[in-house]
Amino acid sequence: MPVFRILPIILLAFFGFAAVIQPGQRDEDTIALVKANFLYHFASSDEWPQGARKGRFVIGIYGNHSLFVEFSAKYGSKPVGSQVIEVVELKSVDDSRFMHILYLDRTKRQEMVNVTQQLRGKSTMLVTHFEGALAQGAVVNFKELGNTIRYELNRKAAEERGISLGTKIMQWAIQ
Amino acid sequence: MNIRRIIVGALCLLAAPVVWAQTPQKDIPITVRVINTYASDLDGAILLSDSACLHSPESTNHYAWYARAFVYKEKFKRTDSLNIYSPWRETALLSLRKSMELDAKGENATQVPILLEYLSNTYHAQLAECLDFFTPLRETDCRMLWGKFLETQQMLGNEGRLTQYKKDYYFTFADRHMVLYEQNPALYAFELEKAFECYTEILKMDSLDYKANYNTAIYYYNQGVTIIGSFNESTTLEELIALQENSIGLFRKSLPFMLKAQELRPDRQETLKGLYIIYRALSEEDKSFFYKSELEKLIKSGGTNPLKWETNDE
Repeated sequence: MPVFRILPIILLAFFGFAAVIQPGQRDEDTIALVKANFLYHFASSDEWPQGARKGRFVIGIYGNHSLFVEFSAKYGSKPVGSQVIEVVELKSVDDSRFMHILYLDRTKRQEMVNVTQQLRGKSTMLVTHFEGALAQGAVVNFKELGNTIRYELNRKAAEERGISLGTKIMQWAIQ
Repeated sequence: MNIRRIIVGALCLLAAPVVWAQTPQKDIPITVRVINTYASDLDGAILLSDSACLHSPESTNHYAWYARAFVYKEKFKRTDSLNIYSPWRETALLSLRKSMELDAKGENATQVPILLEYLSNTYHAQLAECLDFFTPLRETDCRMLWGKFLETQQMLGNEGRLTQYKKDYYFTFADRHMVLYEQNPALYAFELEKAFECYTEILKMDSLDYKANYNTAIYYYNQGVTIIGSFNESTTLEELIALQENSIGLFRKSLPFMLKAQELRPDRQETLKGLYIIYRALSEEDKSFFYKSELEKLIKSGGTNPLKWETNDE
């Protein structure tokens, strides 16, 4: 049958079928993905005291489930030097377990005083994301810069905890 | 496309010999022979018609060219109607164009559009079939058929209908590209780009088209997410910072299209969700929370949310 004999039906099908497929918006939390990569850099580019270089390299995440999910998926079992990363989602912060890095989200900023007390004298890198956190004892604080996520450093706090910051980490910090 | 016009066109084509009989036959004797013989000897009529239009004084007569278009159309119809690159149809179209150029007074203004519309419909029908079985290999065919359909519609003077035709075409094309892309995003990554090009074309014609705005926003946003999603343990700090800038650039590009889509359809949940997510990606928390709460209000007032909806925030 010549194609154009069924023309009216085809035309209706052609115009009626337009644009039924709609691309879906991706759901990933991009900020969490960026922070996860930064945390991995902090873990792999800085040096902890000798006593902390054995066993698992423990990263605690407090108050940001997306970050925990993204970090676990991408870097959860990667090695840092001779150590293997173990990432833990915290329900509260206590001194029962040593952590190399503790991320305290801005949603938990009211617990900053308690957290810094818990970490006193320990070689834990406290990483935060809220204004004024460095002055309260954080070593690294995420900061928005022109819609991007960057970080600022408290070198004195790092020294006090015996953490030696890597050259690249210092180089890319916001001054 | 209107069925009535097609039926009228078919009737007029049947009546064509009668109409030709009324033309001044003494000026176009070869063409008259074409008309008298095409029914019983189409190939002979074609040779006569070529002779009339290419090698005789009749070559300046618009009826001679119209007759040539008609017999070539007949040849296409009888023997080659499934061939999208049919030279018979192509010659028919060229001859019609020539006839229109020569007919400055519009003496044949009734018959030419009917034949032209017939040819146009055959291009359109083949285009629809081509799109129904779309593959990357058939894209050239589809584009050729679309170009021919458009050309015939322009010759018909259907300027007022062309914008809607073009929008429908680009949406359909974008749809086909998206189907291929979603079948295999790695293999058909370029199909996404082509779908985006279609949305861009639609926005050039109609900047207030909701779907084109929304889909363009999604395209830019998803591109940005793809960049950030590619970060891994091999990504250097330099790359992390530079690529983050790139993806932020894409999120910023996405934003005005999503805002426009939301302005056009404030009742749509996906645009509120889109704005919530884009502002979150831009670290603009206040705006992100605003759209998140607007979305939640809309969901509460409008029942269930048809979209996947989950929050990662604590």
